[in-house]
Amino acid sequence: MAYNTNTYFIIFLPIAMLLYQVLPKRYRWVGLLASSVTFFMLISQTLIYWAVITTAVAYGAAIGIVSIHNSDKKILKKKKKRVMLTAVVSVVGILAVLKYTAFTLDIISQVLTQLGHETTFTMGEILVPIGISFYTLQAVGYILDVYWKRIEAERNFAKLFLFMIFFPTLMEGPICRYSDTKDQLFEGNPITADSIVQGAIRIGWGLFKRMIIADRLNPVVNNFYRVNTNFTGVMIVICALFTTVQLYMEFSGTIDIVIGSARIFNVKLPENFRQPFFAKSAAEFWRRWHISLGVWFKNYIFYPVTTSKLMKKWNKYGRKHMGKYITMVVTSAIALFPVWMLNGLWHGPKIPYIMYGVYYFVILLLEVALEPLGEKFYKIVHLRTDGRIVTGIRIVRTWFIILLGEMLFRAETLEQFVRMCSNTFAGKFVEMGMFTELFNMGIGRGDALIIGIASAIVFWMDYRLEKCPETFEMIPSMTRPKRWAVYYLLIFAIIIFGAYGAGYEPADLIYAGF
Amino acid sequence: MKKKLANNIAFFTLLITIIAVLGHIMTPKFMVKYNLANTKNGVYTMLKVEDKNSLDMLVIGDSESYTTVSPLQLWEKYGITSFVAGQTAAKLSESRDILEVALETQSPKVVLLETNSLFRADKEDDSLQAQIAETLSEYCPLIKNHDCWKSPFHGVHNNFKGYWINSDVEPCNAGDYMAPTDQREAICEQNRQIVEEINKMCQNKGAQLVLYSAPSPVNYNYAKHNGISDLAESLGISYVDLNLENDKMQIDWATDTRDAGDHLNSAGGVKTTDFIGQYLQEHFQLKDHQNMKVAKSWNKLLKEYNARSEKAIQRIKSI
Repeated sequence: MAYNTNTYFIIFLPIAMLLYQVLPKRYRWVGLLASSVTFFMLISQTLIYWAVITTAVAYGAAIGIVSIHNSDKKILKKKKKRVMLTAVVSVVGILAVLKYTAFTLDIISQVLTQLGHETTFTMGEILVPIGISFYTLQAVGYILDVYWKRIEAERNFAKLFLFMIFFPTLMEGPICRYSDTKDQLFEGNPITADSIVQGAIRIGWGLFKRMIIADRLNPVVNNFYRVNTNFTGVMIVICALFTTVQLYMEFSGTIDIVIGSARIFNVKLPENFRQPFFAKSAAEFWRRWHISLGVWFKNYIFYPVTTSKLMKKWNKYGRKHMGKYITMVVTSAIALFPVWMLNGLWHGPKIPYIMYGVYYFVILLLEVALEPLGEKFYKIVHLRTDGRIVTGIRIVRTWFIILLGEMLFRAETLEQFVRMCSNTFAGKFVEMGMFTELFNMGIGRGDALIIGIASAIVFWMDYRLEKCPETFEMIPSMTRPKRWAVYYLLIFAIIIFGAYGAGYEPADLIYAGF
Repeated sequence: MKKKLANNIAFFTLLITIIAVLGHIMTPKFMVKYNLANTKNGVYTMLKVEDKNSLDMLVIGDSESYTTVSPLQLWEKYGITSFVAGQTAAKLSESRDILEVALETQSPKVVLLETNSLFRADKEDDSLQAQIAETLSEYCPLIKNHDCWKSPFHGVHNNFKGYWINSDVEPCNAGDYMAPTDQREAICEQNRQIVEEINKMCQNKGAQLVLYSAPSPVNYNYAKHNGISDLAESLGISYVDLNLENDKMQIDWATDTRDAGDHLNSAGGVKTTDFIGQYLQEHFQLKDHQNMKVAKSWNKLLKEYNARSEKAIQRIKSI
């Protein structure tokens, strides 16, 4: 079961809708919980107990934090902090043990081997439940929000459990905050024709991106990253471009399906993408790409670090002794480092993911450090920093950063990524044989044409959404001929140009593996 | 409320009508006539338009099959009516399914199974999802043939009874890729069982199954030859390894392959078809249909085939 399968749309979703609708308003959330438990168990069977444990820890900690009373404020604070820390370490610990044990042992073995000790640690396979990286972050966010008195502790365990494993968000997020989602989840507003239409439009748009572009690119992207491949020149550029386009279409397409599915139940989930390719800097890209992860790191890592006592002391000291600029750069480095190390690690136990975090840490720090220099430069050459030329240069520069980053993200090993980068300028940059080779990698000329046209449509739609974020909501209020034309075009584009059936292998839900 | 309901009914009625009308237009005859069956599932469509019980030989397998046996060349020289029901990257179970469908309308004397897919992992998908997909595909021709729009882009023409004419050349240094060895490459149990099933299906229809390996330095070696020989022996069926017959066929790996030794181009296909034709003549009494009723349509297609094939071979020579 996954969001892009026929069983989800033809069997699971209609049953979940029916169950939700037939229940009385106040028990509809129970229907959602039953559907979510079923969805979880269809994928990870009995491993759901890990999600129960994480929820129990978050639930118990929250109740504990609000129940502690002491007249001495210092002791009270200390006690609450102890409960909070124990809970956070526990839920993160579960994630760490399940996902990173094998990786850590492997690293230790390699280090020991380097030091001359031929010791290898072996262990059996650890089964990891679906969505653990997502619900763990939600659990940590919930504990911290209760600790910081931003929200009340939830007294109903089942309701908190529904928030953790709500089936549309389970596999790929978005990572939600309890305060934003709870009312909609538990309100039990009935499914209406409007909610179905709004949901279906988003689902259709998600399927368009996934089935026509991401799934069609799947064989060629997989072939680029096979072991022992040795592509050179423009093929590496094409590889980076295809990788980025596929990742965007796959992830944002799945998120569209997720948001559409939740919308049917009148749950408006936060957007996870906001036209990322219009970003003018890497920092802005991360405010537009996987937004919920960025927001989580900002709320629970970046801000606590920057507002900590130690940082305040450093700021004071730095400004006095080293000047404003150095203090600002060092402060950014200290706050960005844990964010990007954890961001890389969160994606999984793989060296390229960790290096992906390091890559963006370096890029973002450079952006902070070089910003004053850049502004001076544009002043000297008489260009307005908010003018079209500078904006264009910045967008294209950001594309290069994104393309290189996504190639690192997708590489099987760091060696493969380094080899690909060095091969870009090895030998002739463009040769006719390269294109013959490209069309022997699981993509035909017809596929290339459709990918091009569909990508242009997505780009145009992104441009529209940039100008008018309510575009999707406006479709149902268009005149009937226009509205029906949009619906039919979407439906027939997916049926005719979707990469499904004999000879096609759909792209995996990449983020579901994290 | 009533207006909304009527609106929704009208929307879905129109949607279903469009799908039904398109499905009605996309008949097998229409698809073949306009050369729209060049897709993986197109082989089913093409088989459907063959006259009932008109084929004496069927070829099944993956892409190695439709690049090595040309039914129209066999027709021209021996009057044999044959059809290549091969599919791109076909798994063995997919070839079995095609044969099952083909045997519903045809009674071939010989079935040639190209062996490359014997070494391809074949996990049959009998999940609910696969069953739903199959049902949708069965009842909705638009879904089944949805990627027919790709046919004009293929640059190959496979309506010549399943054979693909190709004029690309990418040389290969084949070396001594069939150096004898006692090693045996294992064929997985599931694939062995599927070959047994295919053999039984052939026996039930009175056809003889023959395994054959297409010449391909990329896909074959002697260890694989030994593995397939053992399987053929255990089933009591014939096995012809074209990789060991190059002294008779004279495949030139500098000119006769389209992708560095993975597949043959048309120049190579002519040579392998010649060899297979002689093999069939020596081992089976297949009727010469050239003076029969079917001859008219076969000869008509032959003219087009010869023109295209000749053009492809000229292009290969010029490269």
